[in-house]
Amino acid sequence: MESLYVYAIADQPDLDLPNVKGIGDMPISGLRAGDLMAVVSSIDGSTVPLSRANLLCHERVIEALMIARTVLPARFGTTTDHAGRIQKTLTINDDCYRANLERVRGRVEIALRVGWEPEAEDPVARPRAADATNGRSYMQALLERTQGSRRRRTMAEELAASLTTGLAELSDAVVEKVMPTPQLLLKAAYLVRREHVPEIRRRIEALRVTYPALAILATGPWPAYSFVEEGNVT
Amino acid sequence: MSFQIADTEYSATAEDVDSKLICASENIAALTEEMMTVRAATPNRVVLDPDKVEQGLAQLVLTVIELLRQLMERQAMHRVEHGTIDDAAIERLGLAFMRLDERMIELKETFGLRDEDLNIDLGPLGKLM
Repeated sequence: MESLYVYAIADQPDLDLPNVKGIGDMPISGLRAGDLMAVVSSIDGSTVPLSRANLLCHERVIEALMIARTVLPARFGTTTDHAGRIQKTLTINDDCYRANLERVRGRVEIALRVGWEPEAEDPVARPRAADATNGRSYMQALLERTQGSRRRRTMAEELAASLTTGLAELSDAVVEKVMPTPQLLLKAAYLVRREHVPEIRRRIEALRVTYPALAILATGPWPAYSFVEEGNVT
Repeated sequence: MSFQIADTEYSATAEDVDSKLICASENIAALTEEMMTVRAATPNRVVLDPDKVEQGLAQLVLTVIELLRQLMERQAMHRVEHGTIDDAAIERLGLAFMRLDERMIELKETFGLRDEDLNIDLGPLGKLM
């Protein structure tokens, strides 16, 4: 069975598509609905394996489109079995997608991950029943873990705020999640104008110098993956 | 505006990927390892493979029990911290949670499940565990 793999929704459907191959070396094409289009290619089956080559190809197509257009990147792995379904989705969500395109126009996403070492004295793991001598000692261990988690979260929120203030003020939109896991202090994405990218790079580099104990990983510029609101899918 | 891009071959290489790196601390290994375990793009799903249906159902049931256990523990901790529970009740609750913990370990072993298998993504609330 053949399906369509969706890379992005883009404006300017009258422009030529870039000369870039899609997943499986298939040609890309545009499915137009009004002033919008979805960029797709054919695939065998209904899913695409999660592989380095496929991820790079997905990104390559979107970035090639971004050279001349504003695009709403699709999440990796988005497929459909019918072209008409995509066009119907574009039509139904025309206002939503146009608003999204305006929000990300001329902007890119910068991704930031910050790792840290939780305080050693605060227990992260659940207490084990085998280690408790009675019900009260088990409850005491649970309570210490709960209070430790609370202290860590407060500390994480304060530290994250001090890290991100300078980045947020350069951004038009921010998605931040503090301590999504005990070892990950911050997972964030910043929507920034292209002309602000050099300055945000400089500020992130300054963070690395100021906070040597933190593990800072910043990447970009990316298509605005984190700043696209999903429409109603048909 | 020129649209010559259509005539330009565009290909991403390893160098393109490297160019995406803005900043990486020297102590990045633990962070990348942690990111691999998060696997946000492929959240945990209950396995309902026809050949492993028993394990899939056990995963589903134990995930619900784990969720309930955590809710009960949080409520109990709240009561302990606010002093609305006496010593005898603390002992009883603690024993109940201990027994539940032991039973969960047994059941996970029986069905070949790991802690991560029960760690479902609760969306904006984050991971269960």
